Amino acid sequence: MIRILPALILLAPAAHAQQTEWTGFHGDGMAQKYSASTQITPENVSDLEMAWEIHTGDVSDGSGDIPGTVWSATPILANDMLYVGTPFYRILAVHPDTGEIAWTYEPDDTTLEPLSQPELKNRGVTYWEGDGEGPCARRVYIGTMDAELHAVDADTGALCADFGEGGILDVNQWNKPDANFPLSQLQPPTVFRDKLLLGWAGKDWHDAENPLGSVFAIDARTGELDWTFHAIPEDYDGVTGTANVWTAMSVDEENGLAYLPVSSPSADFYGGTRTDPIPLATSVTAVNGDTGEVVWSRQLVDHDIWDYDTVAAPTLVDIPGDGGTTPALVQPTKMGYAFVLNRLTGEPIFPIEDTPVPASDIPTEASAATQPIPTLPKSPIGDDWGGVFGLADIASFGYCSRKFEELRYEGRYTPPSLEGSLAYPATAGGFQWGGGAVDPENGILYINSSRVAQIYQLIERAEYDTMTTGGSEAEGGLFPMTGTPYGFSLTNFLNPIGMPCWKPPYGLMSAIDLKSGETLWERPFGQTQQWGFYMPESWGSPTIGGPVVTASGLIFIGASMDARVRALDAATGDVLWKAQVDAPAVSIPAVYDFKGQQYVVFAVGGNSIIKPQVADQLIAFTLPQ
Amino acid sequence: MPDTLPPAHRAREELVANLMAVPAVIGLALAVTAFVRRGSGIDGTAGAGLAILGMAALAAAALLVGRLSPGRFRTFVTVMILIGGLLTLICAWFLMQGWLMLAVALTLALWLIFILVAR
Repeated sequence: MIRILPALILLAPAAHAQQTEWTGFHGDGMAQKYSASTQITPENVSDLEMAWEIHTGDVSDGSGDIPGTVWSATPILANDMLYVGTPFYRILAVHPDTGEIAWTYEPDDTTLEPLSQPELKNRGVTYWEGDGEGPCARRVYIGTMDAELHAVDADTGALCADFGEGGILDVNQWNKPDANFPLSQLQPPTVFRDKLLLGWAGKDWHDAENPLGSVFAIDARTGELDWTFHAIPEDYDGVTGTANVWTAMSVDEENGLAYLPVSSPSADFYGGTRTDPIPLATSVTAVNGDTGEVVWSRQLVDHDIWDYDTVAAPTLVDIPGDGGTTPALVQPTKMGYAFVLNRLTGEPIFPIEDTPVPASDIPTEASAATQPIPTLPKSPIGDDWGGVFGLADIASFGYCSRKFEELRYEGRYTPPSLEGSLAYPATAGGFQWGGGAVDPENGILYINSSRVAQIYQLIERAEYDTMTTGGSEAEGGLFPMTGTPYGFSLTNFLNPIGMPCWKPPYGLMSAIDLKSGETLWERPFGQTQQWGFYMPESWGSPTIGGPVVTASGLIFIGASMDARVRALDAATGDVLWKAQVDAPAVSIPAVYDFKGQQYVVFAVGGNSIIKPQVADQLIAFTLPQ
Repeated sequence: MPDTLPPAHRAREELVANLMAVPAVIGLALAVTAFVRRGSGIDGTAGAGLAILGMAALAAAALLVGRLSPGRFRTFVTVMILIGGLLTLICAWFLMQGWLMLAVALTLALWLIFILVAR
């Protein structure tokens, strides 16, 4: 734990606005995913009907010249307009009540190539408005995989000439000259006052040496660099890299702080080439939003060799209590732990224990002896993988049992090994980038999680060099980890007919009382699908995407494999409404009021990690007028 | 085996068999629609393809069985309709296609009537 500045303020006023717009990736900068809208209630949600839908046309299954698409945009409601970005880096401005397209921004020279990621990805756009009126007083920004950030006028879609060069900022100007990938702008920037905070995504698992993790703060009007945050000491250049911020950030403008969920350093599954501590890697780090200076940081995984990137923006909430409120943040992680910290000091609100974990048997590895594990809230995915799933074992004539016997497994944080280690949870999470939603009125967190077991295997370099690199996070594969003595194999622990070898449920939705840390309810969420066949609801589904909670006591969420969007009762977790959409809605919905009517809008794009089905559907639901 | 049944009895059998084909054909249309319609939840999946095959086989067998003379082959086709219908019903259940399940159930109900008529 690094504390650069001591805590100054212990109590902060409740900072949640009565939001009925949806102006950012999480609705607001605090990543609460909370809507004050109350028109749709548990009593009438079953009456929801489709208000409108559009198909953007920006979709690819990867079978042609264009790589496959992953569309996880949160639609933004601001300026009486709904803005959404696409995986082809276009911006659509849509009338919020009719779905009619007002304008479209199409970049001139778009590179639709998988430069850093295997698929074209987009998580939407950022909206910012400054003082004054006139062209570009209000702006919409979209990033590209080739590290450009485009700024357009929110009223017309015309490029803002005063931003970067002619409206386009080359973020790659701040990359190292010989970098092996561009600083891809897939996650929309986070707004901090008149600044935009830019993280970046890179190419995971390929090399040990990568660009060193950084966050850039730029002037929202001009694109000029204001400050840079570095996650890795510069003398590590050429040895390691990443520890970047590829997911969203959150901001506490009142206290002048920005919160950075920092990912793991490279190489992702072998740390023998980076044995010196990198304290800001796999951390949640608070920086002064005006200067970039680190205020406090808490490392969530010591010497990360599991690719346990800090995966989501921390949710900021003032937890109500008898003696006032506590300014807190909730940091979801791939490990399925939600770290609840005082957001001004980084101190834990619930104790964190340094717990002994298994040691690596790779002689040149230097795995950590302990890992920080929060005592509360209880992880929804459990502390053990739960054993072989009997049905999958029988269906494969004992394959799952035999395979498990070959693997190393000593509980959580079992290090990657030459014989293969069962990783539970694995890089797929636990929690994912969608994070949780919190009701600031009662301090209850609602969060979806996945229970996934994968096999991590290191392969001696000489042997690896006889193999063919290839694969994906979705299907597993071989990854070179160039610059280390080992290549890496990732395998989903499935039987030969594709059934998970671990027991269901595969996905959960949980409600956690942040005042006590106790789990109020926990339910299997979604349905797993194979070849079109739906598995029992009690099995749940792995999820990608996040929930929204409303003041009326509803949770809206897509995220599941079965391509349905749902409304849950926040009090019980019961599914009160669901609708079929074109693909898994791997996104965070937007909830807003417009002209006296409440809408819930989902971007439905799919993600091959949970199901090979893509779409380009933007669909809005509302009550009958 | 010579067909010794009275013409009126044969006509009843054929009528019931043709009626059995009606829900099977409707089920076939439903399965095809689910396979091709984006957003059906099972579009383009192997499971939906299997449902199409199952319903097509049921429809064809229903049309065929009414035209067969009593004998081993007709018994075989009759039993296959039952087995195919049950398997397609299970398939539709796992695909969560309620209308398809109803179509298969109607086909099987008419199969039962066919058995009673054909005794």
